[in-house]
Amino acid sequence: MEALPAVAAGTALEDLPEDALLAILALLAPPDAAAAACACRRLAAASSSPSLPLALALRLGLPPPRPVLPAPDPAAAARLLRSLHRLHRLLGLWRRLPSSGSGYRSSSPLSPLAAFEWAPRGTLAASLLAPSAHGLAVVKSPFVTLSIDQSGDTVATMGDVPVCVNFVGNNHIVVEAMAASGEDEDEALEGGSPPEELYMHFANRRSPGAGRKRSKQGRRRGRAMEAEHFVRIADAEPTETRPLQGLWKGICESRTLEFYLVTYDDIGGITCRRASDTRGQNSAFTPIFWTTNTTFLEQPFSEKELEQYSDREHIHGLDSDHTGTENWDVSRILCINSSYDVVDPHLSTSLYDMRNVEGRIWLYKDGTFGFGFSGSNSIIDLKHVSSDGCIIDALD
Amino acid sequence: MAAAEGSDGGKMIVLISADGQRFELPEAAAKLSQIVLYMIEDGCCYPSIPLPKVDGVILAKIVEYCNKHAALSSGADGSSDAASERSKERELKIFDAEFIDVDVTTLFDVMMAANYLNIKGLLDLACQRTADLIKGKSPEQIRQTFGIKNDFTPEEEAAIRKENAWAFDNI
Repeated sequence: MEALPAVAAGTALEDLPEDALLAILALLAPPDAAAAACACRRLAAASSSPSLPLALALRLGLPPPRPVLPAPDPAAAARLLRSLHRLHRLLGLWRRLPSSGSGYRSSSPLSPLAAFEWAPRGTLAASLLAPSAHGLAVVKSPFVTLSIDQSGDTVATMGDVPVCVNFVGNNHIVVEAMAASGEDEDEALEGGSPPEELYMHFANRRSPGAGRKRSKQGRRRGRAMEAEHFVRIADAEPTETRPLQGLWKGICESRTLEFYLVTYDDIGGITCRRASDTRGQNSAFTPIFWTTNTTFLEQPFSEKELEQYSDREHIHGLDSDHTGTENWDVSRILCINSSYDVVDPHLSTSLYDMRNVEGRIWLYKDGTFGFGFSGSNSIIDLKHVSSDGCIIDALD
Repeated sequence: MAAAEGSDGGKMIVLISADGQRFELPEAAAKLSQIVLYMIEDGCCYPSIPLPKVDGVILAKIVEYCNKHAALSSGADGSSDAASERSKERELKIFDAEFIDVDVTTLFDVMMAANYLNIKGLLDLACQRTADLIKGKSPEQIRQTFGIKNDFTPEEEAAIRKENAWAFDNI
């Protein structure tokens, strides 16, 4: 009966079964996994195991069929691991930086948002998001599809056209036409992202890798598609401590559905911006309100506060036959006071109307919220765009 | 069959460690281990379940983990609204963080036992803790943390570093 030795107290890392080592390595970012591989032979062997890409694919949630290497090949395994990490880094919501407006651009719609989501057949699908003309749905139009080929490399296509998706820093990507085939497209700059304004006004519109390759085929091909820049929306969904944070959608005063992005800054304030067309030179997100004090008013609310809320009308879409079935049960209230002195002066031009400076945010018990300004008697109610990374109420 | 019917939470299961220590725990807690679950389903759990691969010190930890998780996930107090679910999740998170904050030898003993007993949540927790201990460290710091001896020849070490150089690029 002593076929299996008892677990001796004093297990060392080298004694762990390969499955456990693979599970640990699959939890690590590439630099950490590489450091572990360089620690000892046992970890080096696990790092180059042909089973590691599968363990990683399972951990990252890549849909089946998951990539399998045709033969044990350390270089191919490294490419496959790299591709898996790369696809995983792209997951999530991204906002498009405004076009440079140089006259030509891709045929894709001017949506300010893109969602990268796992898709069938082991791929990552990027869609452009637009508010639907009717109701609260989000229209998804296909943008780029990324997959992993037999050799372990990432392949990106827009329709049938191969494209490059390059990282520039950690939270900025460039999608652009691929000029030369058969080359490694993964050339990108190291380092963090400088402020967005720098990109908008000064950045080279093409990533360094693409520029190098494009020169081989001349300019004609490059004109087919202008490089499109996207910045990651790092906090796309609310949390317990930041209940207003994230990407939201709501019917605005003009009775159309719009996207709103609420962000918390490092000094405790919040800013709400509305997505707009990306053709202009300015930011694709227009400031709507902000406040430096995020301390909520808790229940019981004063008579004045209750009146301030109940006297208002919730804005609905034009085609909505809404009869008040929704339950806007207010749990907490936040005062908006978009004071001028905390922002860049040039932004204040959009707030020429002082009545749209002060207002209230009503956080509802279902986790959504509405806001209204003191100069109006309406409430714009916002709904979640995504939940756990998946777009809610999407129309393909 | 008698054991399989006792899913009302009243039945107790006895586990015996490699060094002969007895641990009594509710059936719902014991069932977090797939191995023990199969034994209960097969009626092989009476009078006790011997676990010759797990010593008493580690089995005590495992039993503590199973008791806490079973108690908090069973909804024994009858409340099941979203707020109480969130509060239970928070409590489990705090418990897990404190439970796994152990020396690396105990960590790996717990991992081996969780692997043997097939307790997925505990195995994931131990793997995540190990990964967290690796994060941000150099190979030498990893060796120090886990008491690993550098068994590479200089040539092998140079080769493995070269092989893994891609990981430091901006992928």
